[in-house]
Amino acid sequence: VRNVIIFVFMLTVGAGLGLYIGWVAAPRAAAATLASLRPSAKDEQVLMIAAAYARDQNLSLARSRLGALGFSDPGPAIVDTAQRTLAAQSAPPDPATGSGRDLRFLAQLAAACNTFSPVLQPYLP
Amino acid sequence: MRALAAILGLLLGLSLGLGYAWFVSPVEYTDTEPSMLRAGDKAEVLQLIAAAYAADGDVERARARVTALGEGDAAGVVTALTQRLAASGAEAASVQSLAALAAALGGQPSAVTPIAQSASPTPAPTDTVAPTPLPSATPFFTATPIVVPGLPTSPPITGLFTLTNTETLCEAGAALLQVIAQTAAGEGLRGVEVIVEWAGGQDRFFTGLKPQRGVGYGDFEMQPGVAYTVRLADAPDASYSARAEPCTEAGGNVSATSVRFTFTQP
Repeated sequence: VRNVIIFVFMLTVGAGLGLYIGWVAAPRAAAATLASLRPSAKDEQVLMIAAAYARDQNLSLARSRLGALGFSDPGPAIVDTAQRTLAAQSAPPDPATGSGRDLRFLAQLAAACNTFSPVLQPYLP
Repeated sequence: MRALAAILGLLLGLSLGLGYAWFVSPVEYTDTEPSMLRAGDKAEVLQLIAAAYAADGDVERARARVTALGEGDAAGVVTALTQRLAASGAEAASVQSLAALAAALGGQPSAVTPIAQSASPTPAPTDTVAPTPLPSATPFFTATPIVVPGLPTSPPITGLFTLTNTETLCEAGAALLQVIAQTAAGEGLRGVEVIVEWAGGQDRFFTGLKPQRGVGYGDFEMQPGVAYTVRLADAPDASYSARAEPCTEAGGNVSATSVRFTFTQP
C-alpha cells in the first residue's frame, strides 16, 4: 500500500512537472493562425481584403478571407476597422488617396455585406 | 522497491504531463505578430498583399506588409511564391498580381507611381488572344500581360512568337537558361510564361521579374549536364533543347554555359 501511495504521489508530481515544462518552461506552441493575429494586424488584413474586393468584386472570396480572421459576421468587423482608421486621422481623409481610399474600399465591402454605417456612408459612391 | 515506485511514478507522470501540454492542449497564442503565422497562412497573406497592391498601387505599403511577415527579402519571397504558384497551375489572376508585385518590389520602387483610383474596380488585364490553328510549326502563344505601374511599359502580347535567336554564353556565375521575349521592334515583353522541363521535373517562370536585365527577360538556373527543354506556355508543340556544358571564360576560369533563347512576335 505504501508503494502505491508513493507511486501515485510521484505520478502527480511528475504530471505537474510535465505540465509546467510543457506550458511554461518549454512550450510547444500551436502555430499562430490568422484568427490569432493582434487587432491592428487584423485591421490591416481587413483593409487588404477590402482593397482586393474593390478590384475583383469576388464577395465569396472576401467573406472567406474575413472568416479566416475569425469574423463569422464580417459587417461589424469592417465597420470597426473603418472607425479605427478614421479615428487615426487628424482631418477627414480625401476619398481618393491614402486612408480615404481605404475607407472607400471598406464602404464598398460593407455595403456588399449588407452592412451600412454612418461612418462609411460618406465614402459610398 | 519504494525508490522504483517513486521513479516509475515520476517518469509516467512527467510523460503524461508533457504529452498533454505539448500534443493535446498546446499553448495557443493570442495577439500574435504576422511573422508568427504558419507558412501556408503567410502564402495566403502574400497573395492578399499582391491583390491589394493591384488595387491601390502603393508599392511601399506592399513592401511594408511583406516585411511585417518577417521576410527580409520582400522581392525574393514574392518572386519565389509567384514561381511556385505558376508551377502548380494556380489561378492566373493571382499569379499575375504576385508577378506584378514581385517586379515592382525588385524593380525601381522609387519610380513607381500609384495607379489611378476610381470607385469602380479596376478590371484585370485581359489581353488574351483566341487560339487559332497553327499555319506551320511556328509556336502559338496566348498570355495576359502583367501591368506594373510606374515601370517601363510593355507592349501587349498579341500572339505568335517565333524563336529568332539562340546563343550559347560562357559567363561567370550560374548557368542560366535565359529567355527574352520581344516585339519585332525589339521591345521587351513582360509576363510571358515559360515552361522548363527535364527528366523528372518541371518548372515555370515569367519574363519581366528581373527588370534590371530587361522588361522581356526571364531566366532559370540550370544544373550542369542536365538536358532541359524549354517552351512557351500554351505552345506545347514547339520545344527547344538546352544543356549547361563546361566552358572556359575569357578570364580563364572554368564555368558552365548559359543558353539564351530570343522569341519574337511579328
